[in-house]
Amino acid sequence: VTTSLEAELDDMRSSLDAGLRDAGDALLAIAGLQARLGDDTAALTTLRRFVLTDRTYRRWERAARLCRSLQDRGGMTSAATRVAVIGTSTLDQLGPLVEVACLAADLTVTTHVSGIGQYETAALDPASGLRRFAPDAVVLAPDAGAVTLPTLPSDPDAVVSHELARWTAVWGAIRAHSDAHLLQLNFVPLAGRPLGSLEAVLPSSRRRLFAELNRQLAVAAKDANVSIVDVDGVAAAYGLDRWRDDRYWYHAKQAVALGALPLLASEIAAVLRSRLGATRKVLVTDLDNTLWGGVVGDDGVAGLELAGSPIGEAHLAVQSHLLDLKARGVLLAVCSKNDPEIARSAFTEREDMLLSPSDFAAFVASWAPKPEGIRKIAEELNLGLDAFVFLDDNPAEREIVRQQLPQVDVIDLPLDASGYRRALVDYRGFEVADVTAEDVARTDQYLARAAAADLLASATNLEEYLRSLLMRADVRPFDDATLPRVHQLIGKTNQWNLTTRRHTLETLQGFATDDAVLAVSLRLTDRFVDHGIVAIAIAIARPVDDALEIDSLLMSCRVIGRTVERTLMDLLVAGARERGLRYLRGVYRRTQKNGLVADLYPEFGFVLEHETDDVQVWVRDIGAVAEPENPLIDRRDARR
Amino acid sequence: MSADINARFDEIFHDTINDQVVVHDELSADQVDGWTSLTHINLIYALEDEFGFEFSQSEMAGLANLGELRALVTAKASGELR
Repeated sequence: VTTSLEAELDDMRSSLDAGLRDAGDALLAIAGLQARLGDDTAALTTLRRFVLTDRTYRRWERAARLCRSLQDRGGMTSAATRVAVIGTSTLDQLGPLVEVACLAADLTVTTHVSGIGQYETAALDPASGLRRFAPDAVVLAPDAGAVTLPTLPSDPDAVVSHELARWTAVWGAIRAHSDAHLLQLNFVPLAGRPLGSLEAVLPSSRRRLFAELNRQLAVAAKDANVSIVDVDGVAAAYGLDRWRDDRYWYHAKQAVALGALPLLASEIAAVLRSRLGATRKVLVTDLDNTLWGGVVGDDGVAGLELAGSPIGEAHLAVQSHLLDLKARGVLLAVCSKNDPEIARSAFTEREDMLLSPSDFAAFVASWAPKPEGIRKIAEELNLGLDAFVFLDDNPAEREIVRQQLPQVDVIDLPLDASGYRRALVDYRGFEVADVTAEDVARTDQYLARAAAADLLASATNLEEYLRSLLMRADVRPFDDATLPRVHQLIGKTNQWNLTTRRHTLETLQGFATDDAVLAVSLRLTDRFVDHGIVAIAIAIARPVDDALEIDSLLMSCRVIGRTVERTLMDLLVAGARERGLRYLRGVYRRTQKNGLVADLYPEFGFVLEHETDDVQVWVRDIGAVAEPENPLIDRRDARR
Repeated sequence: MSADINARFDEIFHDTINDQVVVHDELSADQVDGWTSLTHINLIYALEDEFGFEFSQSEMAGLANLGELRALVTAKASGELR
């Protein structure tokens, strides 16, 4: 049986490669065969690719069943993020689809659905399935039918704010008993335009009322730290006329046509991903026939198609989108099979080139295989491969990267360059929950690191180099200006993180106002660049034990090697001393990713107090006399 | 023609409802593990998608067993019913 399954698998792979079968169909079949052969990891990887490729409900429904059985079999459900979906229509099909969509969003998710008629009760009733499910995230998914806006009201503003209050009240009801992340779908108006073009003109028209409701919903959500899922935008792109099938609504209270559910599930997964901080960070791009038309080694710099030619303009649209990504904090890198001098000359010699060499945080042009180049870039930037996305027009290059570096997301491009920009825009892995000032500045920091590396070459020893950087640390208690960035760092820092406690914004706000808690952010600047807020320390006074206990201690990997940890330790010691406490107690909670800091406490003179499998508790007597502080970073403390 | 429709019908039934059950025309929902009102919707959708017709509201609601559904699908798919 095994050999015949393997033969079938080979057949299916070759028909996929040869384009003989629909790609989604072939990928789903391959995943199924891999599962039957017991290779669950391969099956999940294939399903992930399926999700990025296919959009049909019938296949997604089968993929979702396969995904669920693989996750159950692999014991992944217990560690999964628990997502509840509650709404006003039938949502049973959506739940499993969200699970499979999350494969492509780097999340393992298990769902619970409360559909029709349970919207308010699920939120309010202590015995409800929602409460017992204890969700990490709740997706609120009402439909247009549940909206009670009257026809042509005389006071449109009043009816909209009245309606809004009805929906935002549910947020408070859930928050009263749960720390779960909240996601709110906005409202999709019913298809059909009863007033014709007046729908756009009258402030009291249905269309205008829904637009206003969605606008106010977004404002309220921002204030309440609720993430909006822009299903209104998704439905418009899909086609409002097809978004809902009235037969299915009347028969089974399906508010969204089954054919549109994969798109809706993907949108929810994308917002969940951004909310949980599972965002990818680096786009590695090919050059020839990706960023421009033609091959620079053959056609010469002057022969490349850029401005003024139809194909060239399609490639310039890709460049323009890369610049947008860079402005949002995504790092750009080049991995090209080219002579490095020639590759660079294309950027410097063509005036119609939008990107310049300085836009790239890494630039690898060589004849080595691309997986090797991508690995090299990952080392250079000190980032894991699971932060990478790969863009290349050549299907063979995409395939080798897919096979050798399964952690890297590979964007499938259509044959024609006119579709490249859209394929890139439709890829959702770079989305962030919010765009902070630090995001925009971050790319400049990586570029400055290259300059700092040059300085390193000329300095004779490390200490001299670090001194020459003229580093300064601004330490500030959590406040309104820093909390968004603090929350972001808490959510996404994996490696240099002693406890990996993912506090909610509400919890962090609580720390900010509690005198028993030392809760500070650290912003690092040097003579080249402002790194922004890169480290956080939270410690709680335990007077009974005469100790200040570290709740969270973390640092962005961008500044490893800058001795920031010494400064962090200095300020924890100072915090303990200020509170009249004699001991500093450090907690280390082991995860798969934070081995980097396993020895941090002993390095700073802590003694192991006790340990269990995954948790160590360390203690340090800070003594009566202050020790000299880190001389390499000039620390400035702001007071609350 | 109708043999082809029958084969596609059976495959869709297996894909959406239960891939273990032996299909015969007297089967009704209460005899088949996994044939619920929810999976029935998936079955209806898959049949419409496969054959390119639409069930009316009364057709969606009023089917007693698999044989009736198959007869309706065959008639609609071969153009006898519109």
